[in-house]
Amino acid sequence: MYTFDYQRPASTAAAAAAFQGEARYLAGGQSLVQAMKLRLSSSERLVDLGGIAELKGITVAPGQVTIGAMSTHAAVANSAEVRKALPALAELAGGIGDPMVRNMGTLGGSIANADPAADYPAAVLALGATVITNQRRIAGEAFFTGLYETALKPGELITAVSFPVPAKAAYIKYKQPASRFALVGVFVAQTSGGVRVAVTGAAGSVFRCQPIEAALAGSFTPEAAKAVKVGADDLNTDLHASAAYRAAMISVMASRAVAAALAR
Amino acid sequence: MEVDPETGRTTVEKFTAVDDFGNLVNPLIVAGQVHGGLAQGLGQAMLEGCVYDSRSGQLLTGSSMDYTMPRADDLPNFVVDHTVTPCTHNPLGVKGCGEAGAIGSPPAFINALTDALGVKDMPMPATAERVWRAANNVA
Repeated sequence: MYTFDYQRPASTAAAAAAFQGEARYLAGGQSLVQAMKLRLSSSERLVDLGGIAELKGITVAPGQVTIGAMSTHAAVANSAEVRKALPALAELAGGIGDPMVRNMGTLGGSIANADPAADYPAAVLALGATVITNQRRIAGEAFFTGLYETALKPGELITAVSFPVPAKAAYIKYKQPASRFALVGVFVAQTSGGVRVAVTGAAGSVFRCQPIEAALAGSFTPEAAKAVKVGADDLNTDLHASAAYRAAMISVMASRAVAAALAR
Repeated sequence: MEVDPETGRTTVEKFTAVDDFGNLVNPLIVAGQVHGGLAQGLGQAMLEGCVYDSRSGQLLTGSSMDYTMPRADDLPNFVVDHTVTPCTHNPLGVKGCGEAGAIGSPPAFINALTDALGVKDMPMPATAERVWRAANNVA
């Protein structure tokens, strides 16, 4: 790890002001600190967000669940309010990493990092969530722009994510056996705008699978999802799985997510 | 063993090992040796494998993020038992017990898997994709 300057501001405004030079925000550190230890990432300054109270907190209002950017995965998974209002989201959070990762990792850190196999981006895209920053509100559809790339500007700080509550939803992932990240993860949601199906782990960035959405709009059943043959072009091939296998698993995971959503 | 043909995921539901190590001086330690060997052998059969880039020779499975070691939730509770035929070549009548688990479990696993799939061969590790292709006749 290279040396760096460390700041721990007490407010969002102070954090933005502290973001000087070649800086990065530090949330749970579950991706950033690992990258720094491997010398894949180095910054002149880390701005630790852990002391900013206004970035934590979960608010459930009718039809809306708003989660502070520094909320840990464990906090979301264990929240009785989220489990009642949006159980698919609590289950997704509870399936991230392991207990140690969940005690430190945060929603804001996860989506700002935009790992192609992270779980939260599938929820943001499938539910049509809004990413709230200290500068503006960004629609979920516009947030993830590429491999580890988002619409955030340098220094822009996510403060919360607001999730509309769907009629029914579920997230099922097939875990890459070593990392337990999503080899293919599918979030299916019946939203006010129709059925949305978001896929993570299969490509360079999370994406919506229009063929499965169309099939489920006709018949919201596991069989309808399973029958869709998803194209393998643009999907990842790596040492763990080929694009063809990932394509097949998108349909399988989607059908299992539909079954889980219907079973609530 | 259960094979999920939709995903190729294989789970070992029950595993029984019966060994003859001669006289058991400390049965608890012997059981530990067998458990460890079974875990290692099942890891070899199901999960572990070094993968190299064919052009550069670079090791791609360079960390636990990509090289899959077996974990407790990959494995069932083992059923372990013994017969006792004292070794005639030493005063204690004992035999080595550290290797048996790792030697017996890979063929036991692959035999069960090829039987389940109705195929003649399955290379190790029997990854989900390899099993899925065999189960669904995908080349």
